[in-house]
Order: sequence, then structure tokens, then C-alpha cells
Amino acid sequence: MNNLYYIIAGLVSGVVGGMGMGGGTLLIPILTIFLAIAQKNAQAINLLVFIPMSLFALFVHIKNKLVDFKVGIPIIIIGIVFSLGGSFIANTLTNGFLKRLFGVFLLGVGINQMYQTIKNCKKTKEKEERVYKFKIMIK
Amino acid sequence: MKKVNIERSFNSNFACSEYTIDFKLSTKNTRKKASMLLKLITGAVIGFVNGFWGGGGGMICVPLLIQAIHLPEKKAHATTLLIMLPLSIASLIIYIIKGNMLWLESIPIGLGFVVGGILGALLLKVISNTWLGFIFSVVIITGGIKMLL
Repeated sequence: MNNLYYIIAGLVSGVVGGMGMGGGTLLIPILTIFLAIAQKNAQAINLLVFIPMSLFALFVHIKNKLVDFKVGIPIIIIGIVFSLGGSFIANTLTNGFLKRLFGVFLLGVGINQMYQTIKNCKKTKEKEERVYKFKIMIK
Repeated sequence: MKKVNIERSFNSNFACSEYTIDFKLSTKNTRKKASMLLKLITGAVIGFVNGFWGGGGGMICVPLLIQAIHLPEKKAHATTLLIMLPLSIASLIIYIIKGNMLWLESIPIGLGFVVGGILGALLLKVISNTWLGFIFSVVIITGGIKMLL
């Protein structure tokens, strides 16, 4: 029965991830809040689960020539060093404290996402209005 | 009189062109250095976030690539995947060494995630982006508050 919940949790966050909105940011809170998995375990699972899907998507993107290696490679080199350091620090902390910190991170990401969405919404509305006025002018 | 004028204009032109070439070179170099620095800072931030919180690096990586490094949106999304893959593997190794991996639970979650990912990519063409972004942000904020308390 538990396995069914696990599959559903993966499915929901996978759908969001496939839309390019950060499935991992959703999978970790689902696992910790609803399925009572410890914070560090949830983070490890999220890292593992991300790999097969991103491999497949990356393959498609490379084929479509959308991947910029010149930008990516220096970021990767420095990024690996810092991610090793970051995960080392995270593993020395307690689960409860890490969970709180993750909550702060989620709040930041969520507020930023909402701001961006509203901004984009306004932009498209202005564009539509401009097109509408232009059409009236032509008439 | 005319000769002098020509000479003068020639000289000034020459000097000017030399100056502009020099100026262009220097701005190009500083720009290169600045963009390299930006890349290194971006890498450091994304790396730390992805290692520390075990995910969510992509959420930061895409806007950083668009705003700091000026990649177009589609390219930023694709390049983010390229960046996140090795970073995730690196941090995953630490989590496994420290004994924080639940292998048994990760199998059904991973299966669901892959199937969901394919579904999400297909659904992307059907559902409007603004509504999705709004719902997603509300869910994330509630989750954040719940985890903080």
C-alpha cells in the first residue's frame, strides 16, 4: 500500500518537473510532509530520481542543439566543488533543522515564482492591449 | 591650406580609429572576464544550493542563466539540465556515503517520477502557463510554511 503512495508522489512531482518547473522542489515536501520520510533521505531520493529523467531530456535537447556547452562547462566545474561542500554540510546537520531551512528556501522560491508569474501575466496583457489598439487604428 | 587640412583630418581619423579599436578590444576583454566571473559565481551558488537542499538548483539556475548570462529562455532550460546532472551526481555520492539513501523507497518514487515527467512534457502543450505558475507557487509557499512550523 505504501508503494502506491510512493508512486503517486513520484507521479505528481514528475508531471510538474516535466513541465520544467522544478519537480524536486515539490517532491521533497511531499515526501517529508505526507509520507514521513526524513529530510536527508528525501533529499537523497530526489537527487537519485532526477538523474534518469534529466538524462533523457538532455539527450533530446542536445539533439535539438539547445545546449550551450561554452556556458555550461565552467559552471559545472565550479559547481561540483560547491555541491560536494554543500551536501557535506547538510549531512552534518539534524533532520529537523534542515527541514526548517528547506521551508525557508521553499518560501523564497514560491514568492519569486508568484512574482514572475504575475509579471509575465501583466506583460502578455499589455501586449494584447497594444495589438488590440493597433487593430483599431488600422480600421 | 588644403594639404594641411587633409593631413590633419587624416591624422585625427587615424588616431580616432586606433582609439576605437583599442577601446573595443579592452571592452571585449573586460566583458569576457566579467562573464567568466558571473559564470563562476553562478556555478558556486547553484552548486551549494543543490548540494545543501538536495534539489531546487534548477529553479535558481534557469533565471540566473537568463538574467546574468543572457541566454535565451529555451537554451537556458536545456543548459540547466546539462549543469544539474553532474552536480546532482556529485552531491548524491556524498548522501550515499553518509548512509542517507533509502534504496527500496526510491524505486517506486523513481518509476512514478519518470512516467510523470513524460506526462508533464505532453501536458505542457495543453495547459496555460500562467495558471500553472500560480498554482505551483501557492503550493510551494504552503509547503514552505508547513515545513517551517
